[in-house]
Amino acid sequence: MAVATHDNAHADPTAHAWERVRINRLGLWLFLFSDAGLFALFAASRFYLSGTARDPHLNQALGLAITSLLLLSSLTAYRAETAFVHGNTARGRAMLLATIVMGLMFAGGVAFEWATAEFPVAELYGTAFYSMTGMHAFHVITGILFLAVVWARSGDGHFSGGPKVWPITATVMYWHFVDVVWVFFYPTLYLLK
Amino acid sequence: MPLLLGFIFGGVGFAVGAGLLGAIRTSMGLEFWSTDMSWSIAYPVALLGWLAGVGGWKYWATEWFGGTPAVSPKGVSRYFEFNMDHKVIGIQYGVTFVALFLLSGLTAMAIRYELMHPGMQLFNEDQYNAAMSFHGIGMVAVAVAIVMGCFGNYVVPIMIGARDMAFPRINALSFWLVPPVAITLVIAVLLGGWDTGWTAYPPLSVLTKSGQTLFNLAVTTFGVVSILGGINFIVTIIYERAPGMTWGRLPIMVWGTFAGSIIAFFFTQGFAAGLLMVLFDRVIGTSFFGAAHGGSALLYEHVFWFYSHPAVYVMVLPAFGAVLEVLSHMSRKPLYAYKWVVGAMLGIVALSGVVWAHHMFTSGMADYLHAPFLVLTEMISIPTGIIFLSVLGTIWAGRLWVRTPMLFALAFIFNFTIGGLTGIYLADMPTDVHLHDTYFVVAHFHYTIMGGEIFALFAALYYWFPKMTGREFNETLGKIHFFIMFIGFQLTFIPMFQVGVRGMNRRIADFPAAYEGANVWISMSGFLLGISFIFFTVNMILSWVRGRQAAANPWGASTLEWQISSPPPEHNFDEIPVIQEGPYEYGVPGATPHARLTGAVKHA
Amino acid sequence: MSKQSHAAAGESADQRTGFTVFLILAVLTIAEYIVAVGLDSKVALVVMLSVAAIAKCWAIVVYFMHVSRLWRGEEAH
Ligand SMILES: [Cu+2]
Repeated sequence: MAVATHDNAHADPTAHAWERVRINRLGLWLFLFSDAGLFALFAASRFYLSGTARDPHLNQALGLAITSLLLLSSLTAYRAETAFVHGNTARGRAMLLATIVMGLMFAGGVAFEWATAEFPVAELYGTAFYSMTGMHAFHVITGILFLAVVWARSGDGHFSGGPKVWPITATVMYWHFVDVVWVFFYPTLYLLK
Repeated sequence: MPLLLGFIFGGVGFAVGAGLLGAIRTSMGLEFWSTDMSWSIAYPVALLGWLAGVGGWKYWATEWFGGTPAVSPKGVSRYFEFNMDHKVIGIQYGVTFVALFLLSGLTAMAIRYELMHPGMQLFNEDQYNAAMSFHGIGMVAVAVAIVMGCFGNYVVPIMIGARDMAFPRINALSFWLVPPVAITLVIAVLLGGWDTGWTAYPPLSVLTKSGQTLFNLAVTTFGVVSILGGINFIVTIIYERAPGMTWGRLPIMVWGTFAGSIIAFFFTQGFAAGLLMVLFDRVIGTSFFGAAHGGSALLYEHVFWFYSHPAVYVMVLPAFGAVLEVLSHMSRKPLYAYKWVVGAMLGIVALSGVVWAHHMFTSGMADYLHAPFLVLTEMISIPTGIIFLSVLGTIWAGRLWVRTPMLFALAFIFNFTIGGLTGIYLADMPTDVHLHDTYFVVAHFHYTIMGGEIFALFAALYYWFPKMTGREFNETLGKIHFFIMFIGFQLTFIPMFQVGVRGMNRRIADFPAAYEGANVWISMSGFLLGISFIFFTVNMILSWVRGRQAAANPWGASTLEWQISSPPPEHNFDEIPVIQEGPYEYGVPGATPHARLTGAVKHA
Repeated sequence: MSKQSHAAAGESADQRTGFTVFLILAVLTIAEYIVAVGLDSKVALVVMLSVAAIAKCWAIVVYFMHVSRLWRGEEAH
């Protein structure tokens, strides 16, 4: 009852929905910013403990491969969101699926690397490497779960048009955030010397 | 019923998590159960189960899978499950944290009994560590979250003319993460506790018994609560203000909450990162802090204090807000130097992030860090001093209405002055080297947080009690509570400065006989302090159950929450109010009322 | 009909932006890799990798995550 008579600007349901999106967007940005702080502290700890030193046994080819894969998945995520914004559900769903698949491949790549890496977790470089890639992989997996949920729900035109695209946008933003973290982690872990 | 479901689902989640891990471990040829690792994996799954059980599924998550969320019931039962009304959540936070406050207070009584005489009375050393550690983290959790969680949630949305917080479901989620934190900490104590106080310094925290793992898991969860809460307040205050509620017209309580929220959201990861690193060292064998492989325990102190210094401002900034609120309304005067106070609060936010190493003057960190951290720390006295000027200017020549909340607010000024001034000796490197890790620090900290924030908390509690419960509290019992608490507090903590200067170490179960006299005195006064909370508890329960019906505006205050009924209706306002003047225009000639509640105009 | 094709044109323009940004990101990533393999100076490497990472982060935040919608809103365009 009280909600129904919510103030006049809200009488227009679309305007109200856009206002919700604005609010949600700021909340998501703040959350991502906060989460980035956690990653930054781990990266800072890596430099504090061992400077830029890197273990020579790193599998560089694999590193470059999974990095490219994650970058490419950011593109498909972008394409998915753009498609949904323009009401192109079919392409949006295909792109979401492509993102999920590449995310899974990235996670598989990290798992493979863990299984074959030749440096122990107890060494300083191993400490940084396993904890940082592990935390990042955890975010990748949660991102995949979110993507899977919106993909499964997107069939019936649920997310088509204007403010209704928000759940897709939010998930895709989270995915881009995971990529941004890797943009910094990749040189930090693989390329410095 | 949802609570029971929460426990069942939580238990099931724990079993599933531990079982899955066990299966994987068995297949790798390891033992099924490994305490630290099994707990670390099972705990988050148990959390999810708990959240689903208490209503997170029924009222929220089901819609991700095509279901329709249920509608919350009315009546008392809604306090015992996932509910999104900010007023319900405020009361949930308040009751939970008052209970935790009393529990942690009881351990303080036990500690004082133990420390009355040299030698061991009540505890052995391990038990002493468990009690001291639980008291520490319990009270820190209370201090961080009670003012914002209870009054921030209940009052701030109404003060800015909103119908709820920006994220009601996140709000409910953050509250329902709190009971598992408390339960986990209690379980940790029952299983033998942990030894590292609330600070969890390695290398001890890496090497000590498994209670530490539960501590790390619980407190990391609490960090999530703090971050989510902070984000929620920031977004609410930015986007949910009523028309005309400009930044210059926000009640100061809102500003305090806003400033505290910025810190909570920006710095809490420091504690989480430190605790996760300890957990990684314990569970998967990394070497963040293991010196054998080149790890550094100093790293932990940097990461930890990067959060834990700003944390004290998460505690006191909302408390400043609440006290200034009470002082202005009950002195019947405009808040003195409003803009300067806001600037000072934001100045504290900015400075809080660059002073952490004042906790590390004796840690062996690089010498060149000492001077900058000394100077930056002392600079914090500038914004704090401005807030004190505002306090004095506000009550100066005012018409003081000395009821229970006002007494607590005035006591806050007295206590925080002592706390602030003694802080100078700890910020000054030369004196700190002698005073570090003595009872001087204990006394200083309790003067700022207990004498400061907790007194402010009681000011806020008595002030908003009629609004939140719809009942009047008993003034006589309130005043008895105040006077016993105030006197007991001074008698307990003033002598601690003295034994601290004489070199008595903190966090130790036993002490040399030379300190006995002072400790008998401190313990006796401590018990007096403890007795005051009996009056408080009795007053709260009796008044809430059978107190007289409270008027809508018993204090005659001008801010929005007092313009609607006590307790407020479900969505606070029938029409969104229009703000036309600052909130503290007492006795200002020609001032229009703060808000107009009917005939809202269209907002831009 | 005409509204439909207008929407499709809007989409393909937006999708092209995505490809362009991706191309820049890919080039920067490969450059990072080559520099890391070829360069011996530690300091120069730190500087160059930092610059590249910040540039990539900026591109993703601005073009993929649409940070400007925070203050401009999405419905505005
Ligand atoms: Cu400090």
